[in-house]
Amino acid sequence: MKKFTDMEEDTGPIKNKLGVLTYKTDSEDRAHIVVDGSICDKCPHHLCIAGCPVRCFNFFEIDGRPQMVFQYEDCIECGTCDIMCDQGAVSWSLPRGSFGVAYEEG
Amino acid sequence: MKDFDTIVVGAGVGGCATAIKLAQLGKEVVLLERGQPAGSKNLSGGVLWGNDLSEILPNWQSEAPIERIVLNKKVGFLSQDDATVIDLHFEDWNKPPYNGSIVLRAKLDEWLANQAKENGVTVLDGITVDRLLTQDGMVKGIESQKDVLEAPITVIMDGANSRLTLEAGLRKEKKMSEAKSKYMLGLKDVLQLDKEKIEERFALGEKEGVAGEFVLGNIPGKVKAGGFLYTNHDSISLGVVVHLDSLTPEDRTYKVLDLFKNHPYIKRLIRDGDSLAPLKEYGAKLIPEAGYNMMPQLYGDGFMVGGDAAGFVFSNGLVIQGMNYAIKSGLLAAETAANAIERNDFSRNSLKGYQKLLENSYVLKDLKNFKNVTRMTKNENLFKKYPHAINDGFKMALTETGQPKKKLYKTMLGAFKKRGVGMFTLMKDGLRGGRQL
Repeated sequence: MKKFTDMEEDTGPIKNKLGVLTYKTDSEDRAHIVVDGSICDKCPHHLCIAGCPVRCFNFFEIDGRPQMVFQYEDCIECGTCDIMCDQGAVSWSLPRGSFGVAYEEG
Repeated sequence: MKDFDTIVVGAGVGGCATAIKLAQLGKEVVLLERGQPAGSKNLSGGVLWGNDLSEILPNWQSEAPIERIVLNKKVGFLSQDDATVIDLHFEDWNKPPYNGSIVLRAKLDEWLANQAKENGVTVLDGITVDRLLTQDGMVKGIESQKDVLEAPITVIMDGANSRLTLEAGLRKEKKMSEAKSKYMLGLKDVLQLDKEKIEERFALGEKEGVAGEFVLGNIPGKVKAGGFLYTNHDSISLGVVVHLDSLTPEDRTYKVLDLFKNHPYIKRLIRDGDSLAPLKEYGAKLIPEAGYNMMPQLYGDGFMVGGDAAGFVFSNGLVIQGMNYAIKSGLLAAETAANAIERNDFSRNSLKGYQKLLENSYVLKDLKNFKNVTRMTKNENLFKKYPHAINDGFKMALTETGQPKKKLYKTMLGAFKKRGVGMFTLMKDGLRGGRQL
């Protein structure tokens, strides 16, 4: 399992890259992907973290307990996590029309 | 109550082609797109091969926002630090009709959606389609945010991550996680580089471009990945394609792209002064790779499926083509829809002509011919042994050591053997690969 200590080195460069992207972020109650972290607690692989190209998934310690934290705001809607998660923790849908990432190059 | 003759879901190249063709045949079409503007959700590696669009837009090659024309193609094998690259230059590719057009999809698809408007298509952007509307087993239109839009035919062109075919149970899988071996993830940087620098570096004239594809031997672990480099007008599209079923918990897809970027051969191609060319945009998209073996139900009562949503991608390890297959399938869906509208029969029996047209075109002929190609494109040796052996072999043959030289074939065979590929494996993989290609 990924250790908390790897976090900064692991996520810093990829999160920096997202600065060039434009998003129109919907409110949290309208998040297009919902992750049931209680399922992630028992997951043997966390392949969502391996697959996600923008590192929306992080398994780290909060209040002394390791848990899955998911950031829908950075999502570029590729759909990889829905393929990588075979545990049923990811509920995937598309953002509402016009919300989410907007590419200018593509 | 029908609102339109046909609803097309998704303004990618396939959906735009469908809508434009139908409008040109005099039908009332609405094109629905979740991005705003159309094109803003769309991403691909970057080469649109062939000239299928000329059927509906005869002057597209001179009018569309095309970055560059493919004049030079590179096919390479990268080991840890070395590269063996085959450099292909076909002068004919530089003459119309151009064989390959390097594109950036946010720009191209917005242009195509505008062409659709000019041809009389109603284009509605910023609309996410939630589900198909069905009545007595017939698809009667779509639902979006509880709004309903009705038409006797719906053409589903909602892309690689097709939520509509999944939701409607048209796919072989009930859940996306069952399709892990059928998808790759493409990740791409668009790197900003002056037009003059690109032309100088790659020996290109105005509008001429390079399309490079590489087998990546420099990725640790079990990850199977390829890389690509396309020259745009004043940027470079640099990306990787990762087989999702090769990932282990320790891997990160975005680090595969970093490793490709930092390979000594690639690094030299994307530098700007003392550092790497700055990032203009980053993105990722799923790529269906199982082709013939992953097709959903392609048509039924009141609907047809095309493009990436139908798995219409051709991949043989060295090229991945999707846009041309999407456009062609869109044109054929439009033809079928127009005939069905004339007959006023929208049953599966009426729409089965779509499958026939696909089977008689290069779309299903190619996918059928190459349906076992993943045996080669997923062969671990292709990624983990051959790139190293090829580079070792040429390097040994060409590096002066002060020792007597061996014959090339002996050096090459020795290099393969050293990497754990004996004569028998080489012949087996060669035959198997050769047959699939």
